[in-house]
Amino acid sequence: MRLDRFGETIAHVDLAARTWKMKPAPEEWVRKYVGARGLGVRYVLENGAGVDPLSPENVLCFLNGPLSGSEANMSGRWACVTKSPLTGTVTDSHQGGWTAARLRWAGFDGLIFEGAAQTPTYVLVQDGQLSFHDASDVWGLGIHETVRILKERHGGKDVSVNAIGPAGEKLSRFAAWVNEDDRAFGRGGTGAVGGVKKLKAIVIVAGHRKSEVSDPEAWKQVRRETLDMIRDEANITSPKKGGLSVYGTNVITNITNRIGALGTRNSQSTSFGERAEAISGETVVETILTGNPTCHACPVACKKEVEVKDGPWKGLKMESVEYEPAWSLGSNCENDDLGSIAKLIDQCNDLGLDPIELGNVLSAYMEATERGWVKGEGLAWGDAEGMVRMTDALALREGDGDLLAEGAARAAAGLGHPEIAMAVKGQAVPAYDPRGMKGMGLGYATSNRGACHLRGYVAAAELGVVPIEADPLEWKGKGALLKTFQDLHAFGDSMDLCKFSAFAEGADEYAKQYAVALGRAVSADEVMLAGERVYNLERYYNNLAGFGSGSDTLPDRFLEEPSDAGGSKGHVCELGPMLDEYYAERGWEEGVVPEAKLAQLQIP
Amino acid sequence: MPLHVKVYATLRPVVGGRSVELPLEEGATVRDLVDCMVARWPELEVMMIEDGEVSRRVHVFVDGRSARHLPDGAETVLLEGQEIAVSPAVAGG
Ligand code: SF4
Repeated sequence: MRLDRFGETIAHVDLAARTWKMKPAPEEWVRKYVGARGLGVRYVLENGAGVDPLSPENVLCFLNGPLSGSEANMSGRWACVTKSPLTGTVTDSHQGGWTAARLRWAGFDGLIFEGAAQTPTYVLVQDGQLSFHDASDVWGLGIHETVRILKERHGGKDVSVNAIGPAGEKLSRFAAWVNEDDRAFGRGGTGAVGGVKKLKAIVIVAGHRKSEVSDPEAWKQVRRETLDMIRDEANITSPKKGGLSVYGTNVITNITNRIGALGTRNSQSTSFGERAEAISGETVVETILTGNPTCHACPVACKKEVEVKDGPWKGLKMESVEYEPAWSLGSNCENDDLGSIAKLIDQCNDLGLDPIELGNVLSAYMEATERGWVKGEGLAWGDAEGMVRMTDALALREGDGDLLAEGAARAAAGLGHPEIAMAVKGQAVPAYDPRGMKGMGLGYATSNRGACHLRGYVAAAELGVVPIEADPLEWKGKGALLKTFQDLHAFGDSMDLCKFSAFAEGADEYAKQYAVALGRAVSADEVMLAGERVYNLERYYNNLAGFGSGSDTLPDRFLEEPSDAGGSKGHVCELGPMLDEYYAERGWEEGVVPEAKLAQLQIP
Repeated sequence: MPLHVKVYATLRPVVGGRSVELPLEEGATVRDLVDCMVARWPELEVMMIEDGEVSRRVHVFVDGRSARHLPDGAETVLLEGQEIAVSPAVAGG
């Protein structure tokens, strides 16, 4: 596996004709858009921005980056890129685990699916070959069962299965792909695109695994340097010492709760008070933790495997209780029952759903119930067993579950009250209330895939863990700060490195790793420029798809209803002036990339 | 005044609980709180003190605001009835 030949082995798969061809990515695209996220967006653009996301004509790209599956630290990731059925924007989502690595080791840099199969199908990739198989025996099954059956069928060892569940088959707009039983392409509804294509699973059998680079000594050196940096980041990434390693992402629940950024009851409040402790990473570790799994080539091991000790889900073993679902299915639904949160996350992993959107659609439904806008029983705040039942109904589109399967924005509109959907461009918000972390609010509004915390993790500055520090309640300066994070992450996601690498590394380290792996010298400035190009390419696509002036906004609740608790008490999110700052930094006109900017960045 | 302080994340195994009582004088500041914790648990010095100042690797939250974003910073005077929490600066998620 020669790292400098990244992009040469991309399979274009015609599901209708059951044929495939290996076609190298255009050299210019790889140079400009790097891989994974950036390269995927370029393929999606080539397919046309007007395509109906839930039609066979939508293209579904699974792409590695130049570092995926190599020995680089935290490089076990790949991207799924398509036009989102939830938002209508281009979307990309990333999985950890071993699937990306195994795909590379099986001789592929990516798989691009076109058209739709006539009957349920799965594909097997192995030794540089791809074959089509009947999936009718696993169609309708949950992901856990599908993974077990297909792994067994194809040798068991060194096999990854990436599958959709019943929610994807039934075209829920927030259906996910899940691999290794619990690592998801969560956001954007990529699983529904698989459902339209009748593509149940991708089975990958690993082969040769050693990377070849032109300067092996330099490769060893750069990996040693970045490993030292990960170890030296004592508060966060340092293995078995840093907060992220010990407690997982859920390490921040108590903090966001304290500062007034942990939305509660569908963001009607900004803090869960003393009840936050029950769903925090500290409580997970103190009460139900059984293991700390990791991903390919990652010393951090932030995943948290648990076993529920009591209550209706006693005995359930699952991973991983993360910050996002602990919030979305916890405080956001006024639910402080940790066992039920583990159960609901496991349901998402089995049914193939995005837990962030699920929590938001349930909390909107709960608010509608409280206000008397639901015909029938509805769902009460904190009714954990009701949430579990409704999740099953939603995946199967039964009763009110049929409406909820459309996602928070469409469900709230269907109930006659679009204002109770905490969503941007049709995608529900993550776990940082924009009144308590204003830069995150700007990030949600301007994300190219609908509300998202991962496009630009300004939280790193607002929580004070990177040298550029920022007061979470100050709006000034957030435009420039957000642009920096968005561009850096756009490059990292295109390599494809775990986002948490950015707690220890920066553009310099990304540049060094890229240069040694590909034998192409680049500077930190060029890394940031490539990230900026990817971000603008996505925005250009969205502009073509109809998003423009006025699309970058937030739900009124964050703009008009002041925070009621925690450090942010009395604050709203001052989006207007932040947007002005941000557009000026980007050189955009009201959210639209002008011709001159496209030309400057050589887009497309 | 004995001050009730919540602690988070990797501070917990060091202090052996979810919160601590610190024997601080009337008029004590954020800096005094940090010094008091370091005196009691010397292994916290690497996290809490840097170049003789309160380190940016730790947050002291006073009613939900990190002291470093308050006008008086580490010299902020702690008052009875305030909610005080101490946490390593962490992120992720
Ligand atoms: S930090 Fe966590 S998510 Fe990232 S690669 Fe490591 S184990 Fe996986």
